[in-house]
Amino acid sequence: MLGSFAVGKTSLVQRFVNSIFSEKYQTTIGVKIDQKIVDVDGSEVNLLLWDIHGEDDYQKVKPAYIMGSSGCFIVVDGTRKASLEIGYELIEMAKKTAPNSVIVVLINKCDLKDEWDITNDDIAGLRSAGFEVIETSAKTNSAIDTAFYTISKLMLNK
Amino acid sequence: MLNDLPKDIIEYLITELPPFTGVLIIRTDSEGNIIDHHGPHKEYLRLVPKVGKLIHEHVPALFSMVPPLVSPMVLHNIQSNTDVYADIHIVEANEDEYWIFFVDQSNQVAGIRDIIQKMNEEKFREETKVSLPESSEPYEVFEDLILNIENEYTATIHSKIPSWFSSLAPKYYLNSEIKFTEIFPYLEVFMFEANDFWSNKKDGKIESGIWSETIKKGKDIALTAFAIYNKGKKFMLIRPMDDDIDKEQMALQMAREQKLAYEKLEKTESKLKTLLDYKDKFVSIVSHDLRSPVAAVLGIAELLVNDKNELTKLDDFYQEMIFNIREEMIRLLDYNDKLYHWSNLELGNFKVVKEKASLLKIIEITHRTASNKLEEKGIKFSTNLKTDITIEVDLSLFQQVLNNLVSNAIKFTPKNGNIFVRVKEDDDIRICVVDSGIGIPKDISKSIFSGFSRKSTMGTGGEKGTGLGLGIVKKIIDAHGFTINVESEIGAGSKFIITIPEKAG
Ligand SMILES: Nc1nc2c(ncn2[C@@H]2O[C@H](COP(=O)(O)OP(=O)(O)O)[C@@H](O)[C@H]2O)c(=O)[nH]1
Ligand SMILES: [Mg+2]
Repeated sequence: MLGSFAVGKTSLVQRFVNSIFSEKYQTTIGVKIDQKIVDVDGSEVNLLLWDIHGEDDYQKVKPAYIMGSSGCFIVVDGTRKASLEIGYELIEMAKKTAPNSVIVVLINKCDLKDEWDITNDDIAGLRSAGFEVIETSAKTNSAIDTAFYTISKLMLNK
Repeated sequence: MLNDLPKDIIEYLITELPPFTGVLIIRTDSEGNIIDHHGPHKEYLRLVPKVGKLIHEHVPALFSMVPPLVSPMVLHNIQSNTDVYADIHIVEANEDEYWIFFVDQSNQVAGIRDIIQKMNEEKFREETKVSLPESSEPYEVFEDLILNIENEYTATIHSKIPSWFSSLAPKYYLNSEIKFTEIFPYLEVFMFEANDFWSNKKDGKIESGIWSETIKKGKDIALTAFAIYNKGKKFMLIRPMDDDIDKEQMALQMAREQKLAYEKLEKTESKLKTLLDYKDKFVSIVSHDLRSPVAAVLGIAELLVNDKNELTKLDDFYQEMIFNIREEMIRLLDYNDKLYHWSNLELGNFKVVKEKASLLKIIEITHRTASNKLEEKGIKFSTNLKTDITIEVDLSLFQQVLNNLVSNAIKFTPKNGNIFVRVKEDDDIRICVVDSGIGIPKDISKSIFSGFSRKSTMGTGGEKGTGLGLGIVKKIIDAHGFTINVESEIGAGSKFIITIPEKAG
């Protein structure tokens, strides 16, 4: 899980693994690893989910965390344009340090669509750059399973 | 059991029969008074245990441990003598007799002692900024899990099991073999760095990043790992970091919350600005489009008023109505023009083009423009300016400023009053419009330039106002880089002061 701080990385994992959501924002320090087994068209895939602290001036994501990954979610907060810019930076980093890793972009907080700064053009831009883009909400549990299923499938087909 | 054994059999047991060899046994009563002892006390204790003496006088760690809360009770790695660490087992034999066993752990402790000593000294130094004296005893922290690394994936546990680890992964003991990267997947990443470091074969340590583990539902702990190289051996020490992490987390959290709040504020501000722009655009469009129909109605009213033939056919009441229509339409048109003007100023749809201009002439034009109204109310207009001053202004905009100020003054000045335009030139040029009117209440004078002062726009002759005039004045003055202020006293009149700074003039 890569992305600027407070975009919803921890919330997405917690929703997916433990089916919970909290309004409270608790800065993630360091790395939290959770596991979940998913069924991808009949085969079991054991996902080791690395929830990495948010990238900003205070905490930089270590490339070592990405190196061995099979897939990266780049999480963007739809209500914060700045998180898209950081998303692009992290995409560059992921491509360099883990060239075989698949990348899926999640635009999170789609329950707040009224307040979105990220435009359809932005999303079209990501898609035309070849990325799978999924709009999610950890709060309303929208497209979370789809997101994890999609990345699992891409990783398997790699 | 032991009670039943003869004394010399016990002695034989613990001196000759492994695994009992080397164990010290001390028997006490229920208050901890020593009854007797067996085994190599010299190894464990500095002084010979004396019958009748309290056990904690020999081993302070056993203060109030006899009788124990549960039996048996085991205390791990207690330092009982210099360089001696023992597990101490306290077992109830019968109600008023306790057996205390000392089992040497020094070898176990020795393996990790150096490491812990080093780390703690460092920590101590960091916290207190003083160095420990050479001879000081280590203060042990047994919350650390220490692994003796065998290869990439396996290690043996080299320390007592800290409680956090037993809730995370039960069924591990001292010397258990452990596939540590399975329990701590995070260490897979750290092993890259650690292997590099170990291959240098230099004593020392490196620290990993932080990760967290869920030890039970809802309870996470943050951990760091140290890869240690000590006298040819590779260790991994895993340490919970509750205190430090709390502080760090708080600081980070606050910084980020502030940043989020700031981002939100910025967003709201730009939204608000867009909304305000919409409002101004709306006003601008509406007032622009209203102008022609209003002007058309006014034209018809003028036509009727000027057609004396037709007019005289009507009775007085209707004649007056037609005059009223004309008056109201003039006012409406004036208001509409001001609104249009004001909203465009607000939108920034204008440019100040400065040119040299004669102040005397501007004042004269103002006088002429206002002459009708002045006459109506019998107000005297005068100025102290005799010799002309050249100012650099946008002529048509600045003319409006003075016109507005003077017509405003007329409005609030009773019949037969005075309006005086005083010009003062030292470094700056100050143009004051002074009237002998009713004055402005304090609460209004604060918001008087805002463009929408709702209160008291009714003049002394019943004139109706728009409240927009002074808003327009302020906008134009600001755009020039000049300032405008108001001084006023209720009943004594008002004074509007325009200051043209030296370099701007
Ligand atoms: N409305 C809404 N809020 C969300 C969503 N996902 C996360 N949040 C909130 O956003 C904040 C940051 O979430 P968190 O998961 O801690 O972000 P992280 O720093 O990327 O791990 C928290 O207050 C969450 O409650 C979402 O889908 N919708
Ligand atoms: Mg987080």
